[in-house]
Amino acid sequence: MLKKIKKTAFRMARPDIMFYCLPWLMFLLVAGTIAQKEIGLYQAEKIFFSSWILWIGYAPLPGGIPTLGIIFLNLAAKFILKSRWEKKRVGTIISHFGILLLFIGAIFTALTTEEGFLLIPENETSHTIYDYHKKAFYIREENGTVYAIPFEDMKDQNHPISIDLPFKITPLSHCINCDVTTRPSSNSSHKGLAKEKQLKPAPLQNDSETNLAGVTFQISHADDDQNGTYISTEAMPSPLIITKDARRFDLRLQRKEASLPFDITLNDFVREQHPGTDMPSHYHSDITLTDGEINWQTRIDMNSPLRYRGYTIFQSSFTDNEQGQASILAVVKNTGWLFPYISSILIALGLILHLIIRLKGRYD
Amino acid sequence: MTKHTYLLTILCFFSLIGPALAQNTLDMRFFSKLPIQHDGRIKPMESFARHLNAKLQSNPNLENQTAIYFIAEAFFDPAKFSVKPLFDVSDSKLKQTLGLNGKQPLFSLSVIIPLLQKKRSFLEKILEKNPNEWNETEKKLYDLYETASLLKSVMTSFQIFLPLKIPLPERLISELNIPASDAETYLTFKKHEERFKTYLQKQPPEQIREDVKAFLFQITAIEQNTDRQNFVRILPPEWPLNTSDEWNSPWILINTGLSGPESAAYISQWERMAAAYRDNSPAEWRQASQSALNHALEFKNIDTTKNKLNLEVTYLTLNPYFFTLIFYALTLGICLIAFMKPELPLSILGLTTLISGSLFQMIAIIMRIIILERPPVSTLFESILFVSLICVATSLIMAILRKDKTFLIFIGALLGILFYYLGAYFAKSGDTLQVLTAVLDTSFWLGTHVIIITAGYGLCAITAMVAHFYLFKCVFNDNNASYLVPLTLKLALASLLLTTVGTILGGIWADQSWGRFWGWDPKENGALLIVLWLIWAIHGKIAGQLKDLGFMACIALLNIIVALAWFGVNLLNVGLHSYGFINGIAYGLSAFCIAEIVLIAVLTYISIRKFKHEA
Amino acid sequence: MKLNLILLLLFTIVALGITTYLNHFSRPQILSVPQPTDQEITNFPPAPTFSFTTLDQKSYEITEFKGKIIILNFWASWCAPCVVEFPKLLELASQEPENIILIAISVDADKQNIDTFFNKMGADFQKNIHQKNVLIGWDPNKAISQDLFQTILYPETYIIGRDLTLRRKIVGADTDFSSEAFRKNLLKELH
Repeated sequence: MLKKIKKTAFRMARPDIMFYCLPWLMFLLVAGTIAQKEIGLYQAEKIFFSSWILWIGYAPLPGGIPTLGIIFLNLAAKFILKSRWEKKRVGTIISHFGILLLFIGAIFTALTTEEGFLLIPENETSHTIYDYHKKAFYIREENGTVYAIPFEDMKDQNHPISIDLPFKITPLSHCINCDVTTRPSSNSSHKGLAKEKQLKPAPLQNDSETNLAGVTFQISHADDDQNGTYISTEAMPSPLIITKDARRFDLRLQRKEASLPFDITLNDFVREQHPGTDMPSHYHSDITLTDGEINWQTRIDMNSPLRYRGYTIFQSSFTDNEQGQASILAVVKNTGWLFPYISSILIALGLILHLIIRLKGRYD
Repeated sequence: MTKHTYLLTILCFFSLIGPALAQNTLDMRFFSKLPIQHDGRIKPMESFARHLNAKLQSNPNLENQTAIYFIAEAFFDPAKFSVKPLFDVSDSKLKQTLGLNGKQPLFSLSVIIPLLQKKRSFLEKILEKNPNEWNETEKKLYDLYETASLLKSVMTSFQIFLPLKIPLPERLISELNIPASDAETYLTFKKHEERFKTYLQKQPPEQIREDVKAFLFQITAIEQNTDRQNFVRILPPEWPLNTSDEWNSPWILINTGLSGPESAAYISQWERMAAAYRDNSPAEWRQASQSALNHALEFKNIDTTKNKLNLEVTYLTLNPYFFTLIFYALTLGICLIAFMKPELPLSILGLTTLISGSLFQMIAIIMRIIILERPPVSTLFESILFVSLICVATSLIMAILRKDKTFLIFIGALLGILFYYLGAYFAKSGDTLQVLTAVLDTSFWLGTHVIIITAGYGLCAITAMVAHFYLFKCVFNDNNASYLVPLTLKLALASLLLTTVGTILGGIWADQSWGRFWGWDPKENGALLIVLWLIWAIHGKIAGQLKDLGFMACIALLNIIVALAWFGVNLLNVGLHSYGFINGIAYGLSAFCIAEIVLIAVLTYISIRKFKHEA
Repeated sequence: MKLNLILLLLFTIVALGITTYLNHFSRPQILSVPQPTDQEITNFPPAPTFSFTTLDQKSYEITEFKGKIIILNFWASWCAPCVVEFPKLLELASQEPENIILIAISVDADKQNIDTFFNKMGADFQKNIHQKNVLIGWDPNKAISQDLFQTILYPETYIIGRDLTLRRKIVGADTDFSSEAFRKNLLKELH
């Protein structure tokens, strides 16, 4: 048994594996890049790069994860089992080591990264992180209780969502990107916007953030006149209100929320422009970070993020409208961010050494 | 506005300014250095003129050398400028849309602007649509509209102090006691507007004569034409307590009350230039433009840009690339002779000319760095310049170190020339020496990333070139081509070093800027593709899956990979840091890729057959 | 090759350790946000020298008033905001007879209009306008207002320092010249 493992491991370490895997990886890379023009970056990444299986018609082909995984195992096996520290090979081994660390960093990043963004208008405080892509159906009771139903669970289920509410919600359909069309015929069971409109799934947008998600659902066991079919989309300006026995609930489909364990107040958002143009030349946010005793005034600049309690907060974007300016700060939690720095040093060092050894070899 | 007033506005607009003569004999030395704020920085008039010229690039009559005359005419003699055939409307669909008749390809502003006015609602509809969805004609129409509006605002910038076309009727001049000289321009008339208005109020409306009405109409037209046009920003902020860096056009400055004695004095210098231009008096023009320049160089806060203005004009008029090209061509010639007559000791001469060429190129790049205060590889054109220099420099270093000098010098000169023409193609669509948007600017990581990755492109190009020569040598019966294999392997390793480190640095920059190391963005993928290709070829060679010929063919194909990563990703037009879409590049790129694949396949096939035959 | 495995694990653990440390214990690099400081501007441009004629045909040179704060106002009787602003300027001048010289230059084409306007005004105005530090100029051909100062919209007010440098320009009539705050600020700024 042990022998067999050893044999497999040594087989894993052979360079021909990589020789055949790399072309496939390159194919995925090219296909995924070209596909971005048609389906957008988010979808392309899901299909080609961060996928286990790539379906072409009915043919299951290895996706980005297994391809990269095999290359990683191949390199790791080679490095651990076959790389002897000889003078001639020092360069190669160090660069391989660097690449391995890059992979390990990538694994940590893939497993641990959480990201989202904060949207804070000037002079306001927030700790709510919105997800870039994920949506959820939120039910908020007046007393502050919040229930969040993941968007995926809002698909046609034929049975009510099992959460502890005095009324029942039965999802009827959901669409990641919806067309809002006029309902051909409506009856008394259609309530609110659903009286006139209905939701139909539409093709996904290239930019996943411009998709208009929507759900159709049924409310029952609520106060009498409120039972019926409703629709809800992200774009609705105000939540749907459902009451039952004097308890009041706000229902709304929106970006998935998470919470920072501390507060950020935006004191000032500054945008500088190249004079005489509307091209931004620089922007930054002056913020106050409040966490219990801590009360820090600091600045988040374009290229200098704030790191605190495992979160890294970046100046990402801004909005500017009649209500004033708001800063958009990207929030990332990632344990693998240091690896590329170490890797790039190791790889550069290794390749330079290797090159020197090769060049010297000529004159020997 | 009714249709009638519309027409009148247009008529008035084009008849405002008096007649003029050809002025290409004037000395533009000083005028070309006058500072103007454009695209976010202070540049010399020469640069501004060339920028506008590039907007009309499809017109073959316009040369960069005459751009400055072109702008002087637009400023000081708009009437003549407006009837010049400038716009290329050879596209038949566009002609049809605009309702243009006639076979000639070029039309003047005076023809185009009224037609565009008529198409106003159509243009508004186009603007409502997403630019990606515009069809060819809509795009062309919009381009035409944009350029025409731009030129119109250039033409109207100095209208306030150019002679009025419709004179104030003689009888009013004497009746209202206005000095005759004050009736000439809008600004001087403005001094006596009160009297004019009082006079009008006293007259019963039906008794106001036509010539007075026309005059009045003209004044309104000038105010409307110039009202919001802040394109020709030649006046710096005058008031010390005003912290804005924004310069302004004369009318905006005066009309918003930002003017003062300083701007009054400077504007009068411009008036003097305008008069000298219209009189076509070379001596007076030289004096006027020189004193205007002297005045401008006394502006506050201009000290930092003073030398840069000179430098930029030198850069534009000297055109160091031209010398680069000459020297590279010379080198190429010398190499060809050396190939034919190997006994001649020509390599030192070739080395000298190649070094001279690369020096000029280096000077050009350094000048750009000083002018723009940023790394030299931020636009596609700049990256071509830089890659070209890297190629030449690498071949120079190798030529000095190795024995096969002529061959290496030849490769360097050839790549230098190829990149020169590639660069010229991209420069045509506007090498405007731009400033950069926020995320792309001022970052250490970004600077190092682009420089290293672009240097990597350069090394890849030269490596692939060597591989091409290997294939050629194999086909044309040269049995000792194999000495090129170790050289190629080393070059490939060096390319791998630069592209890998460059790619990772790009990731680090992205991580620093928005918190994700890798986002599968086309630009990143392109760089990664080069890295993977190199890794694959090198490992295939070292581990033995690829023989010499296979390895060299793969390295020759590197050209395509680099072209795709460098130019191809711009076609996808998505992601965070594409340089910008360039029309026509798709065709060129596809043609290049197909040609390369066919060439390399044919060469490899013949070589394989030959080897088999020999064995 | 145990060494390689150990190396790999070691680097991974160290990197993770450093990351955790940096993530959790790092403090912001800038703890107090730099505030833009009000830099004192010293390089004010000199005011152009010019002479003007008052309504009573007396001629003055601007340099005669060196050492005082000069308020140079361009106005016209037909300009409604100017007429609103005018009494406030006079009041300011009356409060600081030692420090301020008010030069109000009318660009009226017809002198008569100026007189008509003055005669319409109340007692305070009449008293203030005859102060020593108030000079009413007349510039019908706009040689000063437009040719020299490039004013074409009225009112515009220039403030000239004691050293005859141009300090600031006030466009329109939105400034309350007669207010205490304005007066104090002016004296502080042009001490």
